Amino acid sequence: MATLKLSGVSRRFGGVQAVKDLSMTVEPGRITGLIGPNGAGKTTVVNLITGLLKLTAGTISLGDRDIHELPPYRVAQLGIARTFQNIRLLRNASVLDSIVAGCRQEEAVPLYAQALGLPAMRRARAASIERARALMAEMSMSEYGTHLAGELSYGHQRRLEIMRALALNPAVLLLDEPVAGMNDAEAEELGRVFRRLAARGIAILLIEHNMRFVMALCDEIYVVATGELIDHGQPDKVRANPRVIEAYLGGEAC
Amino acid sequence: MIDFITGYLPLLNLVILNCGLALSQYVVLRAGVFSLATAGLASIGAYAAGILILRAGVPTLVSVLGGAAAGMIVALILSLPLARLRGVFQAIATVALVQIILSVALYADDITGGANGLNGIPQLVGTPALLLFAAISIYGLWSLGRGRVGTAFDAIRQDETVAVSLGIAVARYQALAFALSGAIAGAAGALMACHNHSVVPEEFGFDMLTTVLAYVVLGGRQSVAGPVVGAVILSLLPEIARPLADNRMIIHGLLIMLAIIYLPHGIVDSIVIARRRAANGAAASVVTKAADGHA
Repeated sequence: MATLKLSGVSRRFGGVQAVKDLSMTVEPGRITGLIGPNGAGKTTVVNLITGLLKLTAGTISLGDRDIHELPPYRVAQLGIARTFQNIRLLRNASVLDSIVAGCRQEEAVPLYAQALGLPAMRRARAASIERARALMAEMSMSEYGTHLAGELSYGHQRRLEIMRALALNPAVLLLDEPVAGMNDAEAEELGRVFRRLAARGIAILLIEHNMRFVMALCDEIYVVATGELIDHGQPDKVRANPRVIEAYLGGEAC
Repeated sequence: MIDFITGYLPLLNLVILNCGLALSQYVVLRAGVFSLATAGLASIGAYAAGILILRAGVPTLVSVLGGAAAGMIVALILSLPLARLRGVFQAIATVALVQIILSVALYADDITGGANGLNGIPQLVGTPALLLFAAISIYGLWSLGRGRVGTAFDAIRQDETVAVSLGIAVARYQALAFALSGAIAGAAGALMACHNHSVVPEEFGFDMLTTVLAYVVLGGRQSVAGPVVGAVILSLLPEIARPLADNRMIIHGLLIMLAIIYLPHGIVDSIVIARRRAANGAAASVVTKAADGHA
């Protein structure tokens, strides 16, 4: 398990400085929160980490390896998985197939063996399916394997995104507003899932608007506003910072 | 009885060759590449095989493999610039490629025979050879399609950003799709050349491009059965209803429009999806009943 480290990361879109000199650390076994008002640049940070956007300055590393110049699929292969703020599904794929899409072990089988349908290929596929089933069981979705992703309920779609990301067997899991639109009971249940994943050694970066959820769940919180880091530390410390309250909560008490 | 069978063999051969072209078009569409290069790649294969046989006296089997290799190489080269384009821009670029190949074929008289094409190719390919070609293509694509390659193709087609986030190397899988498409189209073109005794440039024009696209749109682009079903229906239709034959292109156009409106996934994939829905519905109602029983 490796630590994800951002050092002096900046990103400019034309005249807009979306992220400015941001440094943060996402450690294995911990849930790190990233909060800030709308337009603060949170999703941009996720897109920078995953390589979908290139940095204007700074470095991003996983363990002792720089990853900010790698193409996005390589970043994913190294073990950085994500979910999307606006759920993105393979709509016509079944739940099982969607998860299997994240199981990359089959790529170890040579192409000719796949074309000939040799036993090695069938074994690899069976292993992927078994893994997908285990993930469904873990997320209490076993009976939905054959359902089409696009026809699931909202909460199940969010879970599917998480299972799909976990299929990669990630070292780092980037969750972009995973409980948006959920009620408290559903959010709490997912929170327990995230705790369990962190306990397994996964480094989790959680972007979230639901303050109560973030404060209760995160080990450490980074607060950004207009692309700049304004505070970081343990939830209690961050909550007490007047600048955070002003920037994020508009002066309201939390 | 024998007469009956031999009477229909040419039609069977035509259907098999069309299935080959349909498979070539299918494999790129499944991988999310909107390439319409199949007609051009088939003409490359046809000319390569024809030239090898007529000018170099190469054995038929080797010539057909040469046609497949030529189609594959051109497709792989094509995949490099096309990787930068998406959607309709890929379609336009590949249509242009088909026109370029045809123009070259028309003007390079010395090599291609110009407007007359290549003639006098001995007919050395019969139904068994064509069936073997179809069997290899279908099995290979089916086998790849139900494993990692199919999963990757489907993911890329449905949402490229998701595919990338799952570590799927999009450019590499799309190059693979191009290579398969080119090899199958090249082989089909080469077999056409051997089967028809000749290579005629007009055969590989815009008509073939739209016809081949119609096979896949009508049949479906996820399962391998889709293009086969589409090719069989559209190849047999003008034979069954003779008066339609003269207006083939109109019928194809109409069928494409109807398929897009009413069966956007094509015949085969629509059936697969409907059956899956029915199965899930049945399972759900069993669960509900069980729950009712407890209550």
